[in-house]
Amino acid sequence: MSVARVLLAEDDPDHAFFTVRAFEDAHGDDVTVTTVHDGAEALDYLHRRGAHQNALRPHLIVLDLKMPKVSGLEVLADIKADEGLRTIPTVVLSSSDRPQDVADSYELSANSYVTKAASLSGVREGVRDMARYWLEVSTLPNAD
Amino acid sequence: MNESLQVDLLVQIVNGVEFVLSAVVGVVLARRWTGDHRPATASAAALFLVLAAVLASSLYQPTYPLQGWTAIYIDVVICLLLLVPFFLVQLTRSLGGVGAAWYAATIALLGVQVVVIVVTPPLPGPGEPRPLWASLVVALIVGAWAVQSILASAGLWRLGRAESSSVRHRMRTLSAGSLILALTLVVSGASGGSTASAWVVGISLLGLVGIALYALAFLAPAFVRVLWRQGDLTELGQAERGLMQALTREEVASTIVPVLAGLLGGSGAALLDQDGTPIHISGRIDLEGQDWAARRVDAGRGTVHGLGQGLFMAQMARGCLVVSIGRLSPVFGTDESHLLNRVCTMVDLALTRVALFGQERESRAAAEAASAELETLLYSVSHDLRSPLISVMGYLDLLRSEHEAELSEGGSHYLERISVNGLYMQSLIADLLELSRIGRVGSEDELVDLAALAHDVIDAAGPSAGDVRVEVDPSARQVRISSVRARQLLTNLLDNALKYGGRDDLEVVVSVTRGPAGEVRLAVSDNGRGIPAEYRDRVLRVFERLDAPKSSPGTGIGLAICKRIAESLGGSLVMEGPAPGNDTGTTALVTLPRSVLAAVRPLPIQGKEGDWVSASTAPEGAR
Repeated sequence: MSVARVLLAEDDPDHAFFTVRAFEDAHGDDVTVTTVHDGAEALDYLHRRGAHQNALRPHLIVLDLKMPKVSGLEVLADIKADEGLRTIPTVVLSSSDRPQDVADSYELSANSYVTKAASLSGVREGVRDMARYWLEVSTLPNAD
Repeated sequence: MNESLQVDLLVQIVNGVEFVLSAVVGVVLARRWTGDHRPATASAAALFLVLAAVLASSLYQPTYPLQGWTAIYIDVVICLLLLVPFFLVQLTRSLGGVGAAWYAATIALLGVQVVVIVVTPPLPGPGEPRPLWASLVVALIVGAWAVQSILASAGLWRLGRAESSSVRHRMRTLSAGSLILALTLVVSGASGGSTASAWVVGISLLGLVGIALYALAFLAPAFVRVLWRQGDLTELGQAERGLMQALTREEVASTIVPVLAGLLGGSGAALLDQDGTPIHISGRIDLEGQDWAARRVDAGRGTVHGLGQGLFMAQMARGCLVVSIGRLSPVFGTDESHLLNRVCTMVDLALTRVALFGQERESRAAAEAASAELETLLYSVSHDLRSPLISVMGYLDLLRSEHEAELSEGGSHYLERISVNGLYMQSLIADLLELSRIGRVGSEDELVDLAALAHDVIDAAGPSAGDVRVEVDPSARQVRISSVRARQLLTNLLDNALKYGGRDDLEVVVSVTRGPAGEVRLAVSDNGRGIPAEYRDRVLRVFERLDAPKSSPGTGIGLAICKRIAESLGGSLVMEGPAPGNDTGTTALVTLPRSVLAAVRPLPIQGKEGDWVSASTAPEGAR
């Protein structure tokens, strides 16, 4: 895999900033992270609608749960119900550690559920581990 | 003592018992008649008193052959005897069991018999040979008696069929008694005045049975009545068990009302609630044209009241039973109203239990809803308060790791971000507290002028609200609500419209109008970019917004607060599309119930003090 493409759906620009930075710290130029700011935009991107006509299929999707317009769970349900999208590993990255949210996510076939750490080093470590596991250790289906 | 003396004594004793029975029942019924003035009671009393007189006459045995006064005396006794079946027919007629033609025929027959008795010579004494004419006279009397008794008996049996079990048994007993008395006379006539002891004793005992059945029908002792009503009591017991399992008023009503309609012998029964609205009706019962709620109050609680036309009402704390009781019941006393009273107590208990159960269920549902809401709130708190906290910690980390030594430009930027997040968290916390306060903290209603309030709120919003228009329907201007909450509601809605309008030439209108049902509609509408229809419900939920946080001001709680305020005022909040005349925009519509309109107290009609109450229209029983 030359350059890994990650789609990050995150409504909080600061959290997006930390997450993108953690990916870059871990993988440098081998990763490009595209950030969308709500669930509706994530779906547009994945289905190549509106401003995202030319979007490239991501290798990994990282979803926040609580987003405007369309929630992370709704995006997750859409991805896992879509013949063409459901093979893309989808990780939920949420600040909620509520058991119901974890259960709901796995119920909808999330590939992993990661709780946002309360410090930058924690976020960095979490993202580095996530990137390492999904982009290095695992063999992913062909994205192209 | 020889055999004929023993028979004589036995017959005298039986006659004596018959006399006492007839006299006692006759006197009791005559006394009852002085109270109820019913023709049926009068006929029954006359029947027993005549019987008693006839029986008393047997104490005096004239010497035969009859002559002079003794002949007249026997004629009078025979005429009294003729009155027995006549009063029986009269009783049946007064209960409605004999038609006019039959009744006229009975009177004619009575007249013919009296004439025959008067014109014919005295009948031969007991044991003497009977000439043909005497046999014919006896046959006439016995035949007439038999015909009248059968007529009455059939009528009484038929009358009892549709009645309550108590009345039905009484009517059947009367019917059987009539047949046995007729049989007594037929046997007596057929004996041809035989003095053989078997005949004499047999006839006496048969007569005793007939009279005893009559007495039983009218004055049945308690244990007999309980036996008669065994079936009713079993049915009631089943209904009682049904009542204990009923969970709703409707179940209570449908369990007891059909049973009651059957038990009381009337055409139908109904259970009404406190407002006089029928919960369940069974059979035929005419409830039209009556203000049952007012009648309930008038009648007072805990008793059965006759309403005329066979209708009775039984009062309870939580409603009333209206039943039609069988037509004949009042003739025989109070069995049915006792039954009704007993049922009333059962139904009242069942209704009370159902009401308490309902309250309990409602409060449990409310508690569950509240705790679900709390759960949502806590979730939002944990998420939305942790989010900025993560940012704060993140930037602090960056500050430490990258700019610890010097505070360069970047360092000050991070510091600025920290402060932004800190402020954001502050407003979140403030709004959350506000949200949880509504509904928990009570607030006094007072007279609020919505037009004045709107202008106040617009002034307070500052220059950005300079062009907001206010349109108020005068009839909806004065309302009685919590002014604190009304102000908060309007402030938040206006704030929302101004904040998210998204265009420079934004026009906002605050309007107060009346809806089709008289409700008060408070609307804040703008011509801004609007909310897509599919998101209009969503924006009213806590922490729901259409923009990413921080890309526009606000916390995402404002509309949720508005919704909860509107609900705490007894109304509702919905987000609607553009107001008429606008292509784009949003209308936040608060609907308040008609009851918030400030009622103007009417002036007393007369100037005098104390006229206030008499001029009002409170129902009689309510005072």
